[in-house]
Order: sequence, then structure tokens, then C-alpha cells
Amino acid sequence: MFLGYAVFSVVHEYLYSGSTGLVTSNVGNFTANVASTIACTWSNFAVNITFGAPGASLTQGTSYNASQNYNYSNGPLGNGSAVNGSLYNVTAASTNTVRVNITVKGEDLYESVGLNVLRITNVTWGSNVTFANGTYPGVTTADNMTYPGLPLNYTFDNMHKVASLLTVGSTAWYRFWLNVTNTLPAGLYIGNYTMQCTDSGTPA
Amino acid sequence: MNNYSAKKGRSHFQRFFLITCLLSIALLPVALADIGVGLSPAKRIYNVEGGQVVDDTYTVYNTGDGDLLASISADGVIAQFVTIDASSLLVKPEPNPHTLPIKNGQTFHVRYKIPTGWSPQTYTGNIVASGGRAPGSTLGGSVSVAMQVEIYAKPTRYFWNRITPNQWMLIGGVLIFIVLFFGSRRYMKKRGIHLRFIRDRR
Repeated sequence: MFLGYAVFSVVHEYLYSGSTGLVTSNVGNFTANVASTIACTWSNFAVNITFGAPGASLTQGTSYNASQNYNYSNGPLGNGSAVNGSLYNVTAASTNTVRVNITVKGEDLYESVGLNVLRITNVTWGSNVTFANGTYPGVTTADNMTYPGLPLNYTFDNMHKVASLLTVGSTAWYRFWLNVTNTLPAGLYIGNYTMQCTDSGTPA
Repeated sequence: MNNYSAKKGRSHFQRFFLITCLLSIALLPVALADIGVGLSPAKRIYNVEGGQVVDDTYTVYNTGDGDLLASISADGVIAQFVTIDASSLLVKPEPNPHTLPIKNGQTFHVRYKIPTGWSPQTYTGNIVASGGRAPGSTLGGSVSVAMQVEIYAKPTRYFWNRITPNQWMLIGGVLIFIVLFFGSRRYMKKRGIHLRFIRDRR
């Protein structure tokens, strides 16, 4: 009985102690709707890849550069000025709240008239997150934007990312190459590739 | 006269130069239009109960230079039980330079019907916004941004809610069979027809 009264007294005192002298007033509320965002921007050339010289026919048994692989002649692409830089690039938005991973996949190229197929694995790629041309004078880091590169897969290649943990406002450059096989019949082949930007799980 | 001609000639040149400059400026955004796509939020984690329906709203926005026709889809395990109210949305570009908050984004609604379950489950997947593909190119590019979705589902609280529609159909079928069997047996018994299982003694 006594113990019960003691517990009640303590609880009552704890709950209602504010009324014994401490006065508080509620004058306003803070409301903050925190939103996370993820966005990437690709260069115009990145969605319009053509191999070889514009309008030129490709020869069997030959490998070709994508038309803008080396077309950035000279300018501030990447750290310092780049010579023969790629015009294919993707930039993580400066408003991103996370670092992003960028992966790529492709679909077979089908003949525009006819049934022949050029397998997407004949298209290869390479990327660099520091230099638009993959190399830079005086820098000895490995050049990963040179032929033959990695073949495009049918699913997003998480083993080989275009860019990992790309920080806000940073750019990744990439190049494509096409291997025209000896047995491929002549024709115009059209396909599609997809590059995807995802949350890396690491804050920006 | 010569001075006049010279003046007139320079005027033509200036006009030509001006028109060329204006045309270049007018065509520049078209020729160099970047394509960008964004999603908000970047990631969503839900802690729910099996059988629960979760509704949410996300925003797709455009960090490129021109209008974007964004296709919205889902992939991964969540694709089995997610419905999206818009398959594609026309999104105006964000003001340049792009800053938050998002001004021209388009919202879309997503509904997750979490499967009922007897044990804790984790479902993962992506909500993907994609756009782009220039016609006429050998290798057209599609660009996409994926927001990650993680759903941690606790076991369904009530026993009856754990039973899936297929299991309900099975239970219903068994009950109907029992009712029909015993009902018909009782009916036949009233009519004097007795059904009995007899062991063959041979």
C-alpha cells in the first residue's frame, strides 16, 4: 500500500512538475520539408551516336570511332585544357544530394531494311571522370579511353561503371567504338543504348 | 562616290555579319541542347506491414535545355506490385542555372501494394525516369535516372490478412467440396439412399 502510494507520488510529480512554477509558451513552429534529389545531364552528342565519318559507309572487318570521340579540339574540358577530347559526357547535377553511379547497357543494332542484326557487344566503350581526352600531358595515370574498351552488355554493367561515386557538378566523359565484323551484310544498322544515373548511397 | 560605295559595302557586310550572328545565336540552343533528367527524392525507404497499400508522390524534373518527354517505369522486385499513374510526362526545363527548389517539375503518383507475408521481407527496385533518343542516329541514346526504393515489410499482423487471394480460392474450393459432399450425402440419406465405403474382402 505504502509502496503503491510512493510510486504514484513520484509519477505524479514527474508528470505535473511543470505546473509548480515553470512557465512555457509556444510561439511558433519550425517546419522543414527536406527533399533529396538526383539528376544528371548528358551532352547533346551523347544521345546521337554515329560511327565513322558523317554519311560515309563502313567497311567490313574494320573498327570505327564514334563521330565525336575526339572532336573536342582544345578547351577547358576536365582538368586543364583537353586536346582531342570526347564530346560525349554526363554531368552530375550540382543540386544532387547524393553521389551517383553511372552505368550503361545497350540493345542490338537492327538493319533498317532487312533482318540482319549487329550485336551490341560489337560496340565497346571507355570512360574517364578526370580528363575529357582520357589522357593529359604530364599525367601518368592509366588511360582508360582508348580502343578496344569494354563491350556493351544487354543489362546495366555494375562491374564496370562509367563513373562511380560521381560528386556533385562533376563530369564523366566516354567514347564508343564499333567493330564491324567481316560477315556483316552491308546496310544501315540502328540501335539504342541507355545510360543510367543512380544513387550510390554516399552523401554528396 | 567611292566613299559612298565603300560605306554601302561596309553596311552590307555589317548587315550580313549581324544576320549571321543572330542566326548562330538562334540555332545555338538547338544545336547544343543538353538532355537532363532528375528525380526527387533520390531514395525512398518504407517500413511497412505485409498487405499494406502505400501511396506516394515523386517529382521528375528536367535539367536539360529543351522540353523532355520523360518515361516513368519501375524495375526490380517492386515492379511486380507497383502502379504508376503516368507512363510519360512532358517536362519543361528548369531555369538555368538549375537550383533548388524544383520549379518546373512534374509530379506522379505511385502505389505499392505490398504482398502479404508470413515472414519479414525486403523488396528493392528502382523508379526510373528516362528520356532522349535522337532519331536518325546509328546508336541512339536513352538517358535515365533511377531512384532506389527499399521496402521492409513486417509479417502481416492478422492471420486472415496473411492469406493470399490464391490461398483464399483454394480454401473456398475445399469448403464448397465439403459442403456439397456432405449435403448430397444427407440428401440421399433422406431419400433412403445410403452411401457407404465398403472394404473389398476378396
